[in-house]
Amino acid sequence: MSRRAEPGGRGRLGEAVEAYFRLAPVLVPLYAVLAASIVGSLVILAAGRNPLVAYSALLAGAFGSPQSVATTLARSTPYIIAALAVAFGFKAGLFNIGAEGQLLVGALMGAWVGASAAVSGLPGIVAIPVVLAAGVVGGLLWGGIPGVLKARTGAHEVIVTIMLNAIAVRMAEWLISSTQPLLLRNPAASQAVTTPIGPSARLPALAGTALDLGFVIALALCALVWFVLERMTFGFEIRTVGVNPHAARYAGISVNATVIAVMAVSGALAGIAGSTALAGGSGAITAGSFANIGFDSIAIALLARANPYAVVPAAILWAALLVGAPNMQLQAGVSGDLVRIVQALIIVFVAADAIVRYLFRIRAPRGAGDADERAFFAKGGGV
Amino acid sequence: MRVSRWLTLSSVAVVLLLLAAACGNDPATESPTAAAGGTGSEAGSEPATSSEAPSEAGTEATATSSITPLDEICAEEYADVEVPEDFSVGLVTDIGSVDDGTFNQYAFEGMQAAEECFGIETNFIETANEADYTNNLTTIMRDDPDVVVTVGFLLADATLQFAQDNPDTNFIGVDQFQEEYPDNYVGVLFREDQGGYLAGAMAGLLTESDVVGVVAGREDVPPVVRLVNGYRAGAEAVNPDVEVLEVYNQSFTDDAKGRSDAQQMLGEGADVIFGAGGQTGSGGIRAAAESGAWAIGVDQDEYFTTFDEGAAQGSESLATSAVKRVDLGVFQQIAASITGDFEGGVFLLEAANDGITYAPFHDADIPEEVATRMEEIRQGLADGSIDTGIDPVTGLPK
Repeated sequence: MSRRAEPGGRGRLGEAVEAYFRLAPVLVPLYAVLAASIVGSLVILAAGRNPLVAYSALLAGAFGSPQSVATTLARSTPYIIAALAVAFGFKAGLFNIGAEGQLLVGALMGAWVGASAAVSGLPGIVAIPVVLAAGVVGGLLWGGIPGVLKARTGAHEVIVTIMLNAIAVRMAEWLISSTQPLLLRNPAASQAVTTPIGPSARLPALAGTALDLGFVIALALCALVWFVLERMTFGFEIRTVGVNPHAARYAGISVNATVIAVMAVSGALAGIAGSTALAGGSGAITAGSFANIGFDSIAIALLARANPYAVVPAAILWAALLVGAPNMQLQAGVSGDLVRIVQALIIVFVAADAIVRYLFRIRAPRGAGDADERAFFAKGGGV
Repeated sequence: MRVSRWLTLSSVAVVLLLLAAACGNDPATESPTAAAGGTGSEAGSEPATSSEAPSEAGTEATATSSITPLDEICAEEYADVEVPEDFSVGLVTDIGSVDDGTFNQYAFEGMQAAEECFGIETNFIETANEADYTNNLTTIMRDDPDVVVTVGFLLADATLQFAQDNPDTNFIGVDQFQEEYPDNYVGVLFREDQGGYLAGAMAGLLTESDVVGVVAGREDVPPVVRLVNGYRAGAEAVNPDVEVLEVYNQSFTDDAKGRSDAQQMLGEGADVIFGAGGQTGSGGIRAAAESGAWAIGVDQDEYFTTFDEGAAQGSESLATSAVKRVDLGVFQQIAASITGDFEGGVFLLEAANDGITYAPFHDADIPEEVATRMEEIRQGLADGSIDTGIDPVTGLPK
C-alpha cells in the first residue's frame, strides 16, 4: 500500500500520468470482467451447475464458428455506435441517458424515409446514405432538445433525456402500431411492424452471415470521434468544458454552445446507430426491436471509460455475452439471465473501481492529470 | 502485505464456496437458488420437480371437467406408439421464461408432457429480447432436433425462414399465422372468440345489474380482439338487456392499470369483470374479486395462478376462466411428428377438439342452472350449433 502514497506527484505529472493513462484504463475494466466472471461462477455453482461447462458453452455460442463470430460482431454494431454517443457526451461532462430514445427516433426516421417511394427506387449508393442520414437527423433533433434546454434554461440533461426516452418509446409504439391513421405500419403484415425499407437501402452483408457493412461504419465512426476529440479544436473545447466549465468560460470557450453541440452530436451518433441497425437488420422495426440498446450502451461506455476505441472491445464483449447465452442454456442448463448478472457485476466493478484497484493492486488515479477520466465519473451527473 | 491480502481474498472465496455447496446439499434452500439460476432445464430433465407448476396441478384437480390432463391423453391415445430413436424436441420461448405463467409456460408444459409420454429428449431456450429470435433459433438448430416449437406470433417471421431452410425438421409455431405454410411448419391457432363467448355467457348469466365489463390487453393483438368481441357476443346471446363495458390497454403487464379499470367499471354498476390481457387483466379480476364482484379469468385456469389455489382473497368470486389449451396443441403436434401424421398448415384449437373450454368453478358458488347452461353452450360451440358471430381471422363481428 505504500506504493500509493507518492506525495508531490503533481510535480512529475508528465511521465506518471502518461504511463497510467496507457495502463489503467485497460487494466481496471479487464480485471472487472475477471472479477465479475468469478462471482458469476459462484452463482452458477449455487444453482448446482458447472461454471466451466457454462462458460465454455457461452464462449462456443459467441465465437465457436465463423457464423457465430459474425453474429456476435453484427450484434455489437449498434452497441458500438450508441456507446460512442454516450462516451462523446461523457467527454463534455454530459450524461446522455437519452441514447435509447435518440436511437429509436433515428431508426423511425430511417424507416420512414427508407420505405418512401422516392427513396426505395434509388440505387444503393444513394439510398443507403439517405437512410443513414435520416437517422442522423432524427437523433440530432432528439438529442439537441435537451442540449438547448440545458444551455438556455439550465434544465438537467439527465432528467430531460429520461423523459424524452419515454416519449420516444410511446411515440414509436403509436407510429408503428397505428392503423387509423396508417403511419409507419406495414399494412400487409399481421403484426405491428414498419413497412420494410427498399432492398437497395439495405446494408450489404458478408455472404451467408449476419455481419453487414454497419460494423465497418461503426469502426469508422470510432476513428472519427477519436480524431475530433483528440486532434480538433472543437474536441479540445469539449474536453475543457468537461474538466472544468468555469475555466473553459474563462478561456473564452462558449460553454452553452459546446453543450448544445455535444448533445446534438451525441444524439446524432445514437440516431445513426438506429438507422444502421435498421438498414443492416431486417429493414423493418417493431416497437421492441431495439429495446435496451441505448441503456446498455451507457454501461458499455462506462466499461470503455469513454474511450472511443475501447468501446469496440467493450461492445463486442457485451454482444458476445448476449449471443452466447442461448447456447449456455442449451448445453449447460444455465439460464440466460446469468449473462445479465455478469454484465451488471462488470459495471459494478468498473464504477466502484476502488474494489478492483484494491484487489488487483492497480494504482489509484492522482491529481488533475487524469481529469478526463475523473470527469465522467465525478461529474457525469452534470456540470 | 501482498500475502495477507491474498489470504483474505482466498478465505472469502472459500467461505463463499462453502456457502454455495451448503446450498446445493440442502433441499430446502435449493429451489430458490436454483430458481435464480437455471431451473427450467432442471424441470425438464427431472419431471418430478415440476409437479408444483400451476397448470399441471390444475389438470390433475380437474380431471372430471372438459380439461383432460395430458397424461390421460397419452395413456388413452398414444399407449403403443413406437418412438424413433434419439427423437428430440427444442423449444424457443417468446420474451419471458418457461415458468412465467403465460403461453411460454403452457407450451413448455406441453413439451414436457410429450417428454414424459414418449421418453424423448427435450431442450429449450428462453428469449430475453426481440433481437435474439434468430440467434436463439440458430442455436437450437445446433443439436439438430426433429421438432422445434416456437412460441408467440412475434416469432412467426423467423420461424417461417427456418422452416424453409430446414426441411427435415418439423416446426410448431404457437399463435403463428402465415399466408402459406411449408409442409414442415404448423401454426397452432386458437378460436379465442369461442373462449370469449363462454366467458361472456357466464357473465351474462351471473349479472344482476345487467352491466358487465372486460379489462383487455393490447388492441393490436388479434387474439385479444377476438376475446373481447366474443365476450360481448356471448353476453348478449344469453342476456339481451346486458350492457358490456370494455377497455383496451397498452400493456399486458400493468397490474395497477387493470385494477383501476376494473374499479371504474364496478363504479359504473358492473358486477362481473372478465380479465383478457395477461397481468393487466389479472389485476382487473383481482380487484373485482376483492370487492365481491364476479371475476372471470383467461387463457388458463386462473384459480391456480392469480388466486393461488384459493389462498388469495376473493377466490370464491372467480366464476371460471376462458381456457386456451396451448399445452394440448403443442403436445398433439409433437405426437403427430412422432407418429408421422404431421401436416403443415393451420392446426386450429377450438371447442370441438377441447382446445377451448371453460375452467371448473372451484370455490365459486355457481347456481346449478347456470352450470347446466354453460355446459350446453360449450357443447353447442363444439358441435357447431352455436356460432359466435365473430370472424375468426379479423376478430370482428361478421
